[in-house]
Amino acid sequence: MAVDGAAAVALIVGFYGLRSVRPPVVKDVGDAFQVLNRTIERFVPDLPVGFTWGEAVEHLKGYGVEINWPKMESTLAGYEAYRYGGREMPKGSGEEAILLSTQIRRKLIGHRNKAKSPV
Amino acid sequence: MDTGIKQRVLSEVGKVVIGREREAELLLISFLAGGHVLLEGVPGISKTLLAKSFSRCVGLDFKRIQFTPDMLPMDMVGGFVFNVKNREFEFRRGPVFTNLLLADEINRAPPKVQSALLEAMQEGQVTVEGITQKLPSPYMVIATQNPQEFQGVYPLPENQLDRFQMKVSLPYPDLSTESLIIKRNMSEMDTSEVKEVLNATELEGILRDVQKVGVSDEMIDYLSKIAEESRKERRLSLGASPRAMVHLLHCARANAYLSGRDFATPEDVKKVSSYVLSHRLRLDQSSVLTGAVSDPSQVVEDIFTRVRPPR
Repeated sequence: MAVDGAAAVALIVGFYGLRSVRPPVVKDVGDAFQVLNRTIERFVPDLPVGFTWGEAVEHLKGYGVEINWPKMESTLAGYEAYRYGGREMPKGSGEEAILLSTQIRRKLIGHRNKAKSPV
Repeated sequence: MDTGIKQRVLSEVGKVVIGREREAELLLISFLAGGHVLLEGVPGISKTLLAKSFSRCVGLDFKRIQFTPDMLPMDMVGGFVFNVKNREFEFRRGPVFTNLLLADEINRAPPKVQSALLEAMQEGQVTVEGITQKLPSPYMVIATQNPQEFQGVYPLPENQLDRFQMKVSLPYPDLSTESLIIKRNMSEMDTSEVKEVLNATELEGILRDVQKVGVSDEMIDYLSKIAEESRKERRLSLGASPRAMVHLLHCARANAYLSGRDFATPEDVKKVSSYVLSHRLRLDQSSVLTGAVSDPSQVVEDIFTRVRPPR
């Protein structure tokens, strides 16, 4: 009985946990990549502080998140040209970066809840 | 930005040197960054062949000096000889007057010869009897040394090691590469198979473009933090010098250029960091004795994991 109760609580917490990961509202690509950066720093502890964008992308590909990777890489190239090359900020809202950020959080919060679940 | 150069050079070098793509790429990066390279490895692992084929495909004048313990500086830089016809002393140039100099087994030369090479490497000139002679441009020294030799050698001092932009260690090839090498060498191998892939005008343009590769202020700060971290590192008794960081910056730019970009990223810095920094760092002996560290490249890697790049 107690085990059933604990399992039910874990499922409810997990469900609301996943629901609570909503894509944040960003104003441009730069903002989107800063959100992704914070997500990685907070939720992906196996990437060291000194990670580069290229390393992060390679690493996150192994997480099995479903995003359009070629599109993500092309957005990243535009962002890097802005960030390091002084080019204009790429147009758009960096939806791939936001999608990736959201998926990482969902996936990792999901993993945490699974790990906590006694079932 | 011409990304085709790397492929052209690697494919030409690959005609005679098997399984050394990474090393050939590093030679190209250092060449475009205006530096000198120290190739380290046991005999017979294609150090000389790599240097020769590289020089052939970039279409530069190439000379080789086999260093020996009885060598004199004038054997390398040249000297004044008396011309009987016009009864005057005239300067006869030594093999150092070239574009690409292969200094084979550099650690077998006595310190006087090594320090004569220092001026050539650092200043792009040599001074004989108070007269300074400019060396051709571009100028690159590719030196080789065998790390296993302990007798009859003069290990390069720190100040000379610091002049080398990169140190590239060549390991033994893996099993399949070794089989390929043996198979290919059943018939006579010849570097004349390697074709020139760059002409002088093209090369001049490329070297100019590499200089134009942009580096943001934040990237400069990132490099400074790396240097500072290396000097604070307990496992090191000697951290990275400002010259090391300048070399790292130049190599990062060359790497960015070869990747088709006109700006450098932290990725460019990381990619070449171990080759540019490891040979300049001195491990703290107590850390070595306690087994805390055995290889400087391990420390370089750790430093890069700790320092946050601009993102």
